[in-house]
Amino acid sequence: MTANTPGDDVLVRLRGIRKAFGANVVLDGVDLDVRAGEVLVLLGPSGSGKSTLLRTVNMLTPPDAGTVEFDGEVLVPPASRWPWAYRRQSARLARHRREMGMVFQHFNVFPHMSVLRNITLALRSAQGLSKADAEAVALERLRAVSLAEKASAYPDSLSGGQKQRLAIARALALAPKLMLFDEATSALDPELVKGVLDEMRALAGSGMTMIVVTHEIQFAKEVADRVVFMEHGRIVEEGPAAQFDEPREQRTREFLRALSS
Amino acid sequence: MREKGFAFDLGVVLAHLPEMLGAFGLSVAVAVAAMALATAAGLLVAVGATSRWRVLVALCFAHIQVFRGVALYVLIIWVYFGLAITLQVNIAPTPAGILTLALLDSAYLAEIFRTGLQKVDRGQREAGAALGLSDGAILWRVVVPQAVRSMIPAIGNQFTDVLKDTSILAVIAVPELMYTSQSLAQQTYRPFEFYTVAGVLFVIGVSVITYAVRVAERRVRRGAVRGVVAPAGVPMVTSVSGREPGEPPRMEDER
Ligand SMILES: Nc1ncnc2c1ncn2[C@@H]1O[C@H](COP(=O)(O)OP(=O)(O)OP(=O)(O)O)[C@@H](O)[C@H]1O
Ligand SMILES: [Mg+2]
Repeated sequence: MTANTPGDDVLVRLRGIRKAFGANVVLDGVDLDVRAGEVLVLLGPSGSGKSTLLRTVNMLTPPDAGTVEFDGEVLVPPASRWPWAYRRQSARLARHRREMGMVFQHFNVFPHMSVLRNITLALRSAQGLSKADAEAVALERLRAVSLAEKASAYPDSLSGGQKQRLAIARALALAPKLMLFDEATSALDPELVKGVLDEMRALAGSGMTMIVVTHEIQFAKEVADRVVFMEHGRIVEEGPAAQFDEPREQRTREFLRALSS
Repeated sequence: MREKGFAFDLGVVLAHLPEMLGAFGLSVAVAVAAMALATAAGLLVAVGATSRWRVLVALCFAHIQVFRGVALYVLIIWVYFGLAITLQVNIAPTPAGILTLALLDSAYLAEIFRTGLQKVDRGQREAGAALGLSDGAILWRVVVPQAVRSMIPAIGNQFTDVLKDTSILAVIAVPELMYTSQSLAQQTYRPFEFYTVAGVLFVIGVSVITYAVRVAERRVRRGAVRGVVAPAGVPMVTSVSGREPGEPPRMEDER
């Protein structure tokens, strides 16, 4: 059930992604395409590599091998030994990252800045907007997540749900082409989960391309165009959300049964 | 009162109080100037020491080791006499004293800031990176402000050290509190009284700094990183009152 049907153009193309932390192979050759407008949900047991895979998309965790293509360009993590070359690589990556918003499990809002400045920082510093323009955009974004009256408050006076909505507004302010959600509701008290899921649902409905890691299986079925089930750093099964009512793979069935019990 | 020569007679000091207070004023001014320079330099050194550039890292650690290791007495002799002899750089006593204290304390402050930088939650850098902020913006707008806030108690502690360390500038005849006390003591044959008053002034100065730090800490509380580990030199508070170890004591009116 989604308002928009994804197009054919691939926005994110992962090929042969591998990542190990020491001897722990976390991603073991992942290929994945995400089309523009698609909502993709990543499922899998704890430690299966969902977060790591999500973080390779914006290079917070550069893969050991494989390529990440975003909007037709291969992303290169800055690695030069020379400061000026490093700077150039880093600036190029930052430009791509501005087109991908990320929402973290633990919000990661900036505690030393007002709610408004949390949003204007990137608009001004990275996008070069004037103070007035940045604040206008920020206020609009805050209104969209019902936080406008908190604009001058500091994050420590917000509830977890409000912090996460602020984090969503902060990411959306840059008008990204892709949104990455890593268990956006896992750290929230149960009564605050709905507000955040509502924002994500609305965003999915608006045609945003999204990669969502979540354990909220009902929500996943509702918003996902496609579900990917991972285990041990590999994709075990993928298909439309409906397929996961009766998964093909034994492991997927076990996982979903464990989740719903 | 017993024999005149042995009595504790503050009247003598009172007669010279304006000079004593003026000298204390100079001590405070020197401490503030040294602290300002040391804070700026210490922050830069800490940033360099935590950068990815190996040469820079090595230089910054060398700075920390050298200026933390060399005794203050040696350093002041070096800055005041050494530079004049070897490089023909002649610096007046007061600026030489400020420079000496700034060098020494930049090393201590660099260590304090380095701890602070490392204590800032990794998620903060990641959030900045994910927003496409430049490395510089992540550092100076996201990480450094939080590190500095979390280190305010340690910075205040360092400031009290700097104030007391100004007394060693007497060696190069900077007319600060200790030097002035010495010369007045020699003039009046009343060393005990003058040094006692000098001590009291230092205690007052340190108390004022401590209070100011409390106020500053309270004002930035909302932005501070909680539960930071106090660096060496700051008394560690163990969790008796339900606080985390090293978390700054809470004020009654905690928000
Ligand atoms: N920075 C890191 N250093 C070392 N090991 C790591 C690091 N990040 C992740 N790992 C390891 O990689 C494996 C996969 O982690 P990842 O966070 O991707 O799993 P996940 O599927 O997101 O799990 P969860 O559902 O618990 O969030 C785990 O074994 C984890 O311990
Ligand atoms: Mg995870």
